[in-house]
Amino acid sequence: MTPPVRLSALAAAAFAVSLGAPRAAKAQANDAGADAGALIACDQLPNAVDPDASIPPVVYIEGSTGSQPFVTQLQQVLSSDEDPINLVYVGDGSCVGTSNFFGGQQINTNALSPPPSPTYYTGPSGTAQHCAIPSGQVTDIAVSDVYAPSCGNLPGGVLPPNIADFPGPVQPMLFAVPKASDQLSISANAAYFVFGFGAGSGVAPWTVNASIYRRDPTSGTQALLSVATGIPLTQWAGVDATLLPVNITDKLSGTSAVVNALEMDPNPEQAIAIFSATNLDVTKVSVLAYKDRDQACGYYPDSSPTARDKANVRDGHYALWGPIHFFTNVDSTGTPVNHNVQRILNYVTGTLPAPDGLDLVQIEAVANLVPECAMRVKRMVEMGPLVSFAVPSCGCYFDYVATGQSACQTCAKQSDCPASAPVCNTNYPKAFCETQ
Amino acid sequence: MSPRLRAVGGFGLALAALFAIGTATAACNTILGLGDYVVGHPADAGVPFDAQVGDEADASMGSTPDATAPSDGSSASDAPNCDADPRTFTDPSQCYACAPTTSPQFANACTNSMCVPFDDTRLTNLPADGGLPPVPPKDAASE
Repeated sequence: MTPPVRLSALAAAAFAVSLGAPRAAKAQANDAGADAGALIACDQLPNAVDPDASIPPVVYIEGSTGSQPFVTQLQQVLSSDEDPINLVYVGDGSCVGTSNFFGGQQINTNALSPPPSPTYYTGPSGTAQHCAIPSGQVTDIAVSDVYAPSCGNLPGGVLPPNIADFPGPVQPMLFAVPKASDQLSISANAAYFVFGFGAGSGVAPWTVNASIYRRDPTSGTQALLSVATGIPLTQWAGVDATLLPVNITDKLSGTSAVVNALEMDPNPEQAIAIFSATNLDVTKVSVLAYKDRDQACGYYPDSSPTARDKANVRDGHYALWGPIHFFTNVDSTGTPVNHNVQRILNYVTGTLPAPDGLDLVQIEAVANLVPECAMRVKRMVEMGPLVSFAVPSCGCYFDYVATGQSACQTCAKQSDCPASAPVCNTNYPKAFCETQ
Repeated sequence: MSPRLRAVGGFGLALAALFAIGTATAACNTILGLGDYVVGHPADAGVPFDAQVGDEADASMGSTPDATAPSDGSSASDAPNCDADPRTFTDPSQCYACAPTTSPQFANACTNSMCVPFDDTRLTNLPADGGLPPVPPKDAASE
């Protein structure tokens, strides 16, 4: 059993920051055009607590923007930890990040429009700052919304033995419509026609190509949904929302651009979009229930449109999800060759509690992610078959932080718990009797 | 055992069906461990078994399940049919009432969650054989 995690003021601050993630993402995008020539080199960042101390080790992480909510919290905490790491993040998209990493290419901060700037933090209350990537620097961790083969950029189609995939929290992917739309659900086959044929979908009311919003082939969201629907990754109909003039003007990229386009569409009944749940703002859009090909009915990610429990993701009723993947170089035993990378991966995979009381389960719940310890099913390949995932060890606590309550029994010690849920999990700020 | 629904006539039979549904629901909760794993949320309080609805427009109203609809497609008076293939379920009110071990069983397991059907007859370009036509080249898909 790992030591208890305390709910500190730091965790509370992190919670508050995570609530403002969409605004933070926009601010970062607006800063993306910073003059690299005036920036400090990312490998020369000082110790955030003691500027006179030696320069802390730096770890680079590149790829999915879906990981940003909890990577940001880790950046803040690790920068001022007693054993500090300067974690530099570049959110250039799942398939861009993995392509660079698999190919041994330098982190490319100009790959997208607007280009993402490398960000770092100096302490838990700091704001994002930018640094310059040293010439030739390859990322230490590539983070992706999808398995390695799904982007189509993996040489040979399989991971080489010196690279391993460490799965992190589960991320649902969504079909969504404007709040003013009357549409409630979509099936896998309907999605195939709408996003594969656009104006020729034959699925009313989604027959206006200009109101069908998608990402691009470098997007993990689009890559996962390609596998789910059967639409080839490069043959999606609709419009790449990041290329819309309004989004270019506002420097909105990725999911933020899709959500903005959906929200502003003048014909809400005809509008539909894809994006990851990490960026979901339920005040702006409505999530559609999804009926997979082997299902008789469609389900929301949550038990209802207004719930926050991710019940249907966790038990296999909602099909559109996958873990966030962290790829890194490993030795012959599968251990990361960089011990600072290993330390970070231990945090994001839940192997070790995050430092300084950082409550990643809570942060992930707020960001619409599900830690592996709250899942009841798992899959080993993209949209692959579901298998039972032992018994969740943090399901009760996840319910508590995601919904505000849990029906599970609280406890202070093992003997407080019934035989049906015998484990008093004290790893979190509130202990519940869990089944494992 | 047929997965198709059968209309059940008569008040007595309806009561029997209600009892069977209730039993199946309890079975689901027990099998899935929901008894000690219930998710609580004020907005969900009182959501009935599956809150499955007859059409999409009714979904937000949370209508009650069809009392004549056996949870696994079997006769309402039968025990759950654990050999039923959920991929053959055609009615949204059908669900798999045993411990799920395969993807179709997980995806169709009885649950307290709301579900919303999608009427695939809306797919006007779906060929009669149900096969999906190839996606056209990207430029041809736009207006």
